[in-house]
Amino acid sequence: VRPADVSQHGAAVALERRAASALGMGLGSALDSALDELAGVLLKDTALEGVLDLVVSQAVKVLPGVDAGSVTLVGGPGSPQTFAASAAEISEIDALQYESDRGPCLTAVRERRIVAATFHDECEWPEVATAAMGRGFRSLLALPLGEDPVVGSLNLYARSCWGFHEGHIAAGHRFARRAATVVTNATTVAATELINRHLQEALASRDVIGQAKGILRERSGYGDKEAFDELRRRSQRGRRKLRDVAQDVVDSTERTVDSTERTVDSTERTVDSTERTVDSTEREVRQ
Amino acid sequence: VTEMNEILSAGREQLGMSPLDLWTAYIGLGGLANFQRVESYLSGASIPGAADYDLLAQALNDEFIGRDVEGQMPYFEDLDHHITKKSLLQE
Repeated sequence: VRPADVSQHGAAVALERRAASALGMGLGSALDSALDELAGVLLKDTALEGVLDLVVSQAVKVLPGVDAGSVTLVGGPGSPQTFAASAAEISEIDALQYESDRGPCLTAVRERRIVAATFHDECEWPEVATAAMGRGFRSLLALPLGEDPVVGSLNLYARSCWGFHEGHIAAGHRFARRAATVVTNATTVAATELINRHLQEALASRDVIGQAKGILRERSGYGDKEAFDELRRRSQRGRRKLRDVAQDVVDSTERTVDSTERTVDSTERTVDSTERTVDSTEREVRQ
Repeated sequence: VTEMNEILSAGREQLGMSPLDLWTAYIGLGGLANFQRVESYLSGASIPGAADYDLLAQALNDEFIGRDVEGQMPYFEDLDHHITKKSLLQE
């Protein structure tokens, strides 16, 4: 059996019809309830990892012929990357594709089409086939998640050497379309949260650098540019981030202030004590 | 496209740092330009002033330091491109 590629867009309508046929074989209620569960995910309560785990676990549970699964995400740092997998060995097969920069999952993402592959010695992706067969998997159905943009792929692995037939592909396609919406939304929320976090860190850093520049201006009579240049020079000399150098300036000033305050307190106590001694002496003299 | 645009763009690509991450780091150092402006510096659509150039160079240098990777972005005062410097100082 040769790998069969199915165009996602061209065959979408036909696949929907075949999905209905596959659902007539008793899959319908399980798939519907899995799709309902995906649709009901509240992104405010569920992190990206939770959404992806749910997608994979439901796909393995309800889709016919599927023994294991994973989700590949693209577009972020270190991508492509497997973010959820039903078994460690699946992550290993996926990782091999990323290392070699080729394989069914990457083809599904890059060419925006469903790729149904059956692994054998003369397979289009021999290194992936060897890795998969060595772990007991003979077939892979990779479905792109999203259309514009494609955020990744849903990868469905089977131990059967007969691969995925049209009914399987149709049901997988229906599931992936719903999953794509949830995954796309979850990645958007996660990206927004990450940007917010980075911006908060940036604003905190900006505050420290502003304080440090103010201290240097006060101490050395620098202008704003000269103060920044001084921090920049210290950063390069010590090979430390400019924010850390600025923090040192602020901390050292706070230590100096603390020390000065302690000295003032100590001096005040000494003065008080001296005054009491003088008062006492005066009383003794008067007596 | 000036020497400064090319240096910033090459540094960012060397680090694999996204324009958004570079802009965020630039804001953290005190930069004031919006994201679109920084993107235009990277693409060569506009030329950064000396202060913005130094902030972006520092943002990239901080990233080199943070990742413990060899690399050093030149600052405005280090640039050899005297014509570019002269024209910018006149702005």
